[in-house]
Amino acid sequence: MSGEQAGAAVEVLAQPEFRDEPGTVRELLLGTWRGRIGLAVVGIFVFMAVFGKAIAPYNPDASSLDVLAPPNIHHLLGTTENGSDVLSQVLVGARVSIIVGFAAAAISAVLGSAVGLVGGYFGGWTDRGLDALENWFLVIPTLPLMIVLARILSPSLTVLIVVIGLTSWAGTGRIVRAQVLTLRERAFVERARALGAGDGYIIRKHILPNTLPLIFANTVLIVAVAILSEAALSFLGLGDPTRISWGTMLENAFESGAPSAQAWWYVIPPGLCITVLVLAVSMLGYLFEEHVNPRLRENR
Amino acid sequence: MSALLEVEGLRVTYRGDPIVDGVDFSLTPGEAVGLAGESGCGKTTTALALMKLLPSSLKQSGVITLRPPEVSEPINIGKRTEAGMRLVRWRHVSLVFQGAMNSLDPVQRVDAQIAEAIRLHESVSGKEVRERIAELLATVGLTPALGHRYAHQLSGGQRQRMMIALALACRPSLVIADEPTTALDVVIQAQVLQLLERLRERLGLALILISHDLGVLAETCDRIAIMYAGRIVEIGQVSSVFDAPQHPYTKRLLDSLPLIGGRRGLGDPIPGGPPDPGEMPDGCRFRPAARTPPSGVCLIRPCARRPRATARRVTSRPGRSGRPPRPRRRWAHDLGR
Amino acid sequence: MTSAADGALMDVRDLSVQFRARGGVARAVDGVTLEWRRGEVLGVVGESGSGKSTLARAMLGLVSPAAGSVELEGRALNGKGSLTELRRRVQMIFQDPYQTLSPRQRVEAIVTEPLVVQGVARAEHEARVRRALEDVGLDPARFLDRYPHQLSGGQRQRVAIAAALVLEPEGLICDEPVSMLDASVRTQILAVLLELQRRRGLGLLFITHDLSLAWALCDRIAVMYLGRIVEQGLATDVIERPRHPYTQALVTAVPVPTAGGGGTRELLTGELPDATDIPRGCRFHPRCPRRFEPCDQVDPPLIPTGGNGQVAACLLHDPALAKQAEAVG
Repeated sequence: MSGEQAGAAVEVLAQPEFRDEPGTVRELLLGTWRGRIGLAVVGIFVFMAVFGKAIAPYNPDASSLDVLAPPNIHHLLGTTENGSDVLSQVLVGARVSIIVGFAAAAISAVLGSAVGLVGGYFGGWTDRGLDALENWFLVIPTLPLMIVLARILSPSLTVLIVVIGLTSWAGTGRIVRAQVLTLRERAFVERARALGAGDGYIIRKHILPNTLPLIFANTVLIVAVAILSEAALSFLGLGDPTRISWGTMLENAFESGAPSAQAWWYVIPPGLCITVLVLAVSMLGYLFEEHVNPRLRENR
Repeated sequence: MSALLEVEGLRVTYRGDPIVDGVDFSLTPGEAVGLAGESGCGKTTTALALMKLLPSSLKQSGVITLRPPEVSEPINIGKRTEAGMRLVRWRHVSLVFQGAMNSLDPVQRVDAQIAEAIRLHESVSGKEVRERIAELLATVGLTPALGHRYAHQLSGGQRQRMMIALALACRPSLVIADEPTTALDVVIQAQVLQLLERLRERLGLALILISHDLGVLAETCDRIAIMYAGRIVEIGQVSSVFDAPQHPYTKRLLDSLPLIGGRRGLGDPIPGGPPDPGEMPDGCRFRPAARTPPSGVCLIRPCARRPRATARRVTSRPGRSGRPPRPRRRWAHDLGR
Repeated sequence: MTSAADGALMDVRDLSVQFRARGGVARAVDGVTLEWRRGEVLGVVGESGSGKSTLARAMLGLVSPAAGSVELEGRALNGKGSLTELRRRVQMIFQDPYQTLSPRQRVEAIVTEPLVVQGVARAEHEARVRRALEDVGLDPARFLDRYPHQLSGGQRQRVAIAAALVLEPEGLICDEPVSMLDASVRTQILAVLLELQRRRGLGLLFITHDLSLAWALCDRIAVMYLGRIVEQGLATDVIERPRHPYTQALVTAVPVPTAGGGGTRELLTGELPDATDIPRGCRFHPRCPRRFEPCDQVDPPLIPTGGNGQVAACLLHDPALAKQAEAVG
């Protein structure tokens, strides 16, 4: 190489300004209608969950003589068969749905991710064993399993959370495993190995961070599933009898013959709350998925 | 002889940013023109625009006229609707895509895909379709048994040949090949290039060959167009462009290529990269990257293309088709130097 | 292109690497002996399926050999201790700049990582990272905080090179480092690598399928076919006067960007056989246009031919078979 080239050989690059990539989480959440509405709705329900008891006009358990009254000045959403205020029950019931929804989804996420990570990364018999376990949980029909488990164990919120978590982790596990399998072969992982990094380091610093967006997107969707499952189980009478939830409201409503008494104010509010919350969470979940996907295919 | 394809003022924009910015060229029947340039220069976009295959987010304008020999009326591609284009695509002009693995349907046997192409344009009996397929496969050097396989069961070279057979299914007069040999090993690449040359001789095919590999283009094409930032900066006979490039970009490009048997070591690197479509510099596009300092003209407007009257060199390579090479004048940007 | 300094940096002796594949056992690397001298630019040329990438990985200890050995300055590589030392002294650059950086790490983290993994003292990190980035032509102030998706292909590859340099290795194995980059960017990156070789006395092991690149950059070249080195020697010798029919076909197959293209070319028939089904005798003989009688029975070793240390695994150069070979021409 001639001397003249040496100086010019490594020029410091003159660069145009860096462009921030579109589609960051913040942009998606705050910049789109779906994001804003989803966030707002979920925010409202979380607020209800936290402050429900405080802002409820009446004690939700308090009975009165005003039985199955349609909405009026004193009771904006009418009363139950015990004379309790429907509005108060709806407000307080939010807590159970939110708690169960998020807690169960968290369990599912942690369990699923752990299994997916370990199985996907180490492969071999570990993977086959864990995969078989996953398949088992995937194949079993969830609602019947939930019903059976809830029956066997005495009903409480914790049991509900555990049951829902146990029946929904396998899906996350599957997805995480698939992602880990591709990540394992990526050049930057190989590069880390070429540096002498051990398995633990690679999992912690490379595999997990690149899987987190996926886990997150999937977990948000599981929150929706968990909320629905809790409502279903409570409706079937398997929920915690000491707590008010929208599911138990529906259960009580049906048992006391509210539909035939045309007491729509008893049935519609809890049903609507479940639907709207699940829809909002799902919307957010799909939004996150959108954020994850173009990155996953980040191959020019 | 009238031109087979005439392109005038082709423009493609993405959200207002120019991807292809005024491309003119023409093709005579049986001629092979190479489109060279680095990624992002707009060559693939040009190819897709010729067949109106661009996604809806890219807006296309300009006059594209196709005159296949067996058709009496010239086809104005620019004006055709999607329904109209379906009659043109594959029948008169077809495309060999980059990356055969992604272009062949993985769940369909390859001969079925060829049959599908034929049936879309002609009503032929099953027997005739089978015969045509066998003939096509033979033309590209494959057996009917290989046609019965799925795409993933074929090797890279075989897949590429299959793509070529597919492109020839309806006997078009023009084939556009977008990086047909990029993913192939150099020996297989040589086989495929030889196949393309033989096909051109036998079938009188016109070819637009797109590649970033100037060596491939030098071998296969009669003329070559160098693209940079959405424009053709130089176009002419292969021999002239390679022996005496006029545009500074062409010069730098050729200079940077290592040549077996030539000088060892590296040429001077071209600084930076092609401009971003969203930030096209005013005036000459290449100014920021050109080595020679720009004259006042360069800052104001891009140069108009001027023909450069040079000695008409007649070169013929052994083994080329029997047609006498047509002497042509070269067009090049002129920097007033 | 420096003259080789004293002695070998790495020595590969009779290395074999095998994989279990659908058709049986794939002998990806099948008895390779190679010497990589200090400060030299050594090219390993071959098509896909030749085993060149596997060879590189075996040299770095990323895959375990089935037989043979790899030595770093005379000491065999076995066990964790030697591997760690190897990784400090020899680093690797990968082919795909879009895959080689973790999307979740900033440039600073990427370039610091090798120091962390190798346990270099924290106090040294910042200075070394800056120096590495400057050496590859990236301004630390502008690039330390960037994520890979904000960078172009050429910039990403520079970051990868910086990450390899930060440990101040003595050798850099480059696996097709520019094949996915544009022509203009290619020259830039290669200029960076050559400048580093010149300034730091770095050895470069260049793995490529691009013969013209190998011609332009390498001191010596080894040509691989189906897991074996079939020709080796000075770059000028191997490319201007190839002795093995495969090398000859390879050289003439390269399309030449000049008017008139390349000269006459010897077109090979058929395709590369599978590594699970390596032909008996000379592994190239089924496709060889110059094969003669003993070729399907005898597996030729590397035979000296043409002086300057050039060797070719071809029976045509076996002095004992000279008469028969003449008949073939």
